[in-house]
Amino acid sequence: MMERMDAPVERAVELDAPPEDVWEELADPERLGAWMGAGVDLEVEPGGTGTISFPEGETRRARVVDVEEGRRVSFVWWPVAPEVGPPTQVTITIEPAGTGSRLRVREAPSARARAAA
Amino acid sequence: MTPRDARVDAVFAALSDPTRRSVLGNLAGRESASATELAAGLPVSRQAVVKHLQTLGHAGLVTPTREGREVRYSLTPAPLDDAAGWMADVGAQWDRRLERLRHQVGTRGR
Repeated sequence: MMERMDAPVERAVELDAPPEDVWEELADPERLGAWMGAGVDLEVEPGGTGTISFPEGETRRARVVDVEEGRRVSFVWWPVAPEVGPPTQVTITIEPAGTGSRLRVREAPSARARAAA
Repeated sequence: MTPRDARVDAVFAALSDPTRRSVLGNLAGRESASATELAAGLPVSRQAVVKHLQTLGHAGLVTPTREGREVRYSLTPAPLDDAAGWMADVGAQWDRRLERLRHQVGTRGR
C-alpha cells in the first residue's frame, strides 16, 4: 500500500487552453483565488510568502519554494487558524496535451514542508 | 483543519520509512510481538527496531504492553483510517478546485 508516502494525493485535469494561458491562472493571485475558492495574497515567485483565506474561516500561510516559469510551481502551506494541522507541500505542473494543457496537482505532508514551515 | 490532521502528519512521517513499514507488516500478522521477535525477521538490530517502534507508537500505530520483563507491541490500525480520511478530504478539495479551474479556463475569452 501507499508506495510514495511523500505524495499521497494526486489529481489532474485536462484544460482547453494552451499552457501559457493556464499559467496565468496560477501566477495571477486574483485568478488563482477564484478557482481555489479563497482570497489569495501570495507572490508566485521563489521565496514568496503570503496568506490564503478560505470563506469558511480557515486561514493558511504559504511559502513558495520553487517556480519554473510557465510550467511548475511548488509551495508549502500550513493552517494558522483556527487549528494547527500538518504543513503540506503542493506542487502544480502544467504540460501541453493535444491542443490544450494538462494540469497536475500533488499535495503531501512532507519533511520538507515541515522544515519550511 | 482538525486535530486529526496533526495525527495524520505523524502517521505519514512514521510510514515514510521502509523498515517501519516492514515492522507494521510483521505486526499485522499477529496479536503482538516483542522487539526481539521483530528484529529476528528484519535486517536491522534490535535497538533499531526499538527506535522504530517508538516512532510508530508516537503516531499511535502500535501500542506497547508490558508483560513481565518484556514489552510486547501490537498494531493499532485506527490512525491509518485517519490518514486515509485525510487523503479523501484533500483529494475532494482539489476535485472541487480543479472543476472550478476548468470552468474558469473554459469561460475565458480566447
